[in-house]
Amino acid sequence: MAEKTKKLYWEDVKVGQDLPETARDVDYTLIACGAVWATHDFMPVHHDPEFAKLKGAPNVFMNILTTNGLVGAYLTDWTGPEGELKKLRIGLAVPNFPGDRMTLNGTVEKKWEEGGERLVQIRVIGENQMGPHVTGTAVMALPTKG
Amino acid sequence: MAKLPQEKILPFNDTSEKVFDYSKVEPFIGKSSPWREGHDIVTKSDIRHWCEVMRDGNPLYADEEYAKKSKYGGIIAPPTMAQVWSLEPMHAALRQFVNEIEPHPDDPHTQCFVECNNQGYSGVVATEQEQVYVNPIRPGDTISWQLTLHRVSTYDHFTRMGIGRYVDLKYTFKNQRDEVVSEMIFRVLKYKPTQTTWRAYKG
Repeated sequence: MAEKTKKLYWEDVKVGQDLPETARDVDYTLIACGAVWATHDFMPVHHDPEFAKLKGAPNVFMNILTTNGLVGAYLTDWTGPEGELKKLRIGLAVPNFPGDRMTLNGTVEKKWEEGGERLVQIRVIGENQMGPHVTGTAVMALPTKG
Repeated sequence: MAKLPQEKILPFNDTSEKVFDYSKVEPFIGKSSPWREGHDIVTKSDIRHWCEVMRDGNPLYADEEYAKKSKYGGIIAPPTMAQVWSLEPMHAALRQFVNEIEPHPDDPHTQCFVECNNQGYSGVVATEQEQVYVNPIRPGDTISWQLTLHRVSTYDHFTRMGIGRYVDLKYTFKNQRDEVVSEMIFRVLKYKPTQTTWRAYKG
């Protein structure tokens, strides 16, 4: 959780530094509520196992919007609420199925100033037991000590 | 000498497999859908539902007092939510995915997808997306969007799902003040479904 008091300053971030690892159990509730309730995605492959099987998948699997939301939350959890997401690119590889556990990791790749903003680029990877579910690159603006 | 079972071996130059006809999708590239408005306005409960699922405790999304003192002057939505209000409501989504009735058959990207289906590239899977966040989304906003068919691969890709073409869709999201809130490139793979599809995940 991004606590109100948490404030990661741009000056304190080092290129090559790792973000703390976090993990999330993937179950039916996360997949179905993530799709239907949180992201308004009614594609039945994300909430109806029978329909998913009809489409050749072994079970329901996480939709891309939920993956995007989990990655976004992982990033602002690290920076605190003053860290501002400017850009997020994610690519999907193996699906997240019920019973999987996704571990999220990140590394700071780059740090620079542009247009009056203090920016960092972070490489994110979310893996389950089958391999990478999501790999991504984020650009965030961070507060400065001035 | 044993005779080779000639009839069971496809000739090397077999042309029975149809080659993707790019000229059928080319006319739709660079063309856009009309602007469409979200069915619902952005609400605090939409934001809360998202944050509950993501376990996102960022006070900018929930704590009025904190958000008021922030540079935004009030509660905002997680930027990653931009696409949420553009998704079809349940009845339209089920018609689309279960009954395969397209909600907007005249949209250039829909026509491109139909053309891919006709050519045997009927599978679809989201593979990649890039979102750029320009302005915050706030409760009470109405999000409108336009979808442009940005790019279709000019050659076949050999993927885990089978042979396919990548289709890039460009979304622009605006609020009711005509300010762009975010832009997104959404990449899907249109592929020829095969028996090997999903095999890797069956365990």
